[in-house]
Amino acid sequence: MDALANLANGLMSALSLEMLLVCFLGVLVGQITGVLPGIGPTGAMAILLPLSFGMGPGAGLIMLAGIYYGAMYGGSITSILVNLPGEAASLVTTLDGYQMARKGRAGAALSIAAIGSWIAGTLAIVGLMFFAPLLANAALAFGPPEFFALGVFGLIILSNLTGGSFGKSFLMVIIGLMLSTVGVDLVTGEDRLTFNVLELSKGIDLVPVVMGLFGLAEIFSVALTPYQNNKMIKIKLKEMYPNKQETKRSIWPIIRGTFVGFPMGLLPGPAGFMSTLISYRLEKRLSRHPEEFGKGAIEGVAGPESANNAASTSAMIPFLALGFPFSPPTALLLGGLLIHGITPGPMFISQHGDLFWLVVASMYIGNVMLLILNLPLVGVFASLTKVPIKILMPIITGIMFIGAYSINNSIFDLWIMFVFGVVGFIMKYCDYEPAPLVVGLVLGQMFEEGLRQGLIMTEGSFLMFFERPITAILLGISILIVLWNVFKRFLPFKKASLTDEQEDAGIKT
Amino acid sequence: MSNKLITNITNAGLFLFCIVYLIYSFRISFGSAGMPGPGFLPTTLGVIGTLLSFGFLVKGFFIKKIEKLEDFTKRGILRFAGYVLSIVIFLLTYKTIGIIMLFLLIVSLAKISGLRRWISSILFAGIFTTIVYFLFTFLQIPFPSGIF
Repeated sequence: MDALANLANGLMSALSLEMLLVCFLGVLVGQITGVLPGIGPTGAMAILLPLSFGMGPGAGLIMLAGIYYGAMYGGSITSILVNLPGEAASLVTTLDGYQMARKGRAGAALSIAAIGSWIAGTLAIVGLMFFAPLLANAALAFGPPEFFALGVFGLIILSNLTGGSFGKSFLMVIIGLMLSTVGVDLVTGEDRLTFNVLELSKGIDLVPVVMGLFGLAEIFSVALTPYQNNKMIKIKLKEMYPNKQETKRSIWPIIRGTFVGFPMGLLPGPAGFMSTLISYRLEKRLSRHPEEFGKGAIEGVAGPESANNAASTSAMIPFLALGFPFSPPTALLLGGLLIHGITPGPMFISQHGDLFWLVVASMYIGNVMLLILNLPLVGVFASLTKVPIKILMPIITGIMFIGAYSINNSIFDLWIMFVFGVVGFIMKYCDYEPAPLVVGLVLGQMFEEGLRQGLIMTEGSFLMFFERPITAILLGISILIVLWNVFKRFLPFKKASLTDEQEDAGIKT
Repeated sequence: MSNKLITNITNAGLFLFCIVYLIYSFRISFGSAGMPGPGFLPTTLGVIGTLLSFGFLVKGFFIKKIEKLEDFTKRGILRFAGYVLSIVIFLLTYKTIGIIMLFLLIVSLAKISGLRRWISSILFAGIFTTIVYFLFTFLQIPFPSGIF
């Protein structure tokens, strides 16, 4: 009952004119940037992060969260109408969504994607509402060794789930942790790796790093690739909504997609993308018409779109309850909170309960706004894919640089962003994932504090970490995962081949 | 340009970064296992990073498959270089000159991105800079004062 009372309070605040405007701005901007070519939710959030600086923490977080799930919605529009996924999690939607569009059922596919996303998003918020406080309460009993073990576990799982090479992702985690050690040591006050550069004393700021790795790197990639004109399928008004049979066929995939996506979002890594793949396979297996998949089956749109939205919402649970951003968008949300001097962690919900419930309430409202925006205006949003890149790229670059400057009035931050933009661009061509680096940088301080305090508590004995049940389980699983990745190549079986749908979508494992 | 060359250069860069990090981390007091100092984690990370990046560097030389990168067209590389150069000039002068540099950055990027006519680029940059100026002033988000 406490949760409902808190939610009611959150709703009262979220329904104020200011918060409604901010929420609307966030979902609208997210929706637009999700549709625009080359910019996913992370890029959109990275670019617009400085805008939250002028707002309060609540309004800033609401806007960023709105951009996050708005961009998720937007990504499905281009997948269905242009066969161009706005972000990785919309890749699977292209398989059947685009085929439906070619058969004149684009409106139905888009409506089902929007309704499925709304249902999944709303159910996932209910889960977030109940699970996040429970998890945060449990984490209050954690000591430094547990936090260290949780950090190790998160980073190892993340290295394993990015979809690329475990070793490369692990190296990125290590480099992220290395970057987190730059600056004044909080225990002794000693300067570490600052090279007498004053700006480095306070450490490497997360915001310019993520803006560079996810925003500027994307701009460089677009500048490098040949520009394309996208051919968009037009939607007629009479084909706008799903018919009775399509609606009936979508109900269970939406529900199953929600239950697939929700637990996936709790794990580190590309949860949205993985959940769409699992949901697609599940629907294909359970369908009475598996032969229709890849040729325009509505279940192939309803399931993955719902799974994706459930996963992106439940990813907020480890972030808000533990302060662990397991995905790049939640790392950006963390950046948004840090700008306002708030550090998420187990104490976040108890210390900033009003903020937590305000965000939860605004997510309900934002989801309704998206549904209202999407059903009648999908054609308008889709036409944004026609905005020429020669106009779009200078605007985005300009906004990024003046925005990044405004956070600390620092040219040094702009240089950091530029350097990481170039680094992110190069990483993209060498199959190095930027997400583990960011998470390493974010978790570095907590990881180090946990390690050092834990070692002092155990008088230098690593074995004593294993005498505490939670640390023993988390470290044990982490060690097993590392050993598995090291030795699996020597085992006498071949790597599983690509699944049909991965091959269809051109996804490499 | 081949993927192998870029991967090898990147791996060499990562190895260099890790080894420099390791060398500098030796200068920070390590402490002991029972009382770890500020250099404890950096040294540990430096060792792991150096070993891993060295592994990738060596592995990179044995990759036989050479993929040509389709993205790397001459026009694309020139556009990328133009972006980088424009941004570097902007960063070097933004603090001193101020908002005018934003206008010049947008003109430059618009030309590089393919807006053919100078007048279109100047108009576009002018409108953008004006909107941004008033929007940011309204939101009380600061600019460098520059020459004004």
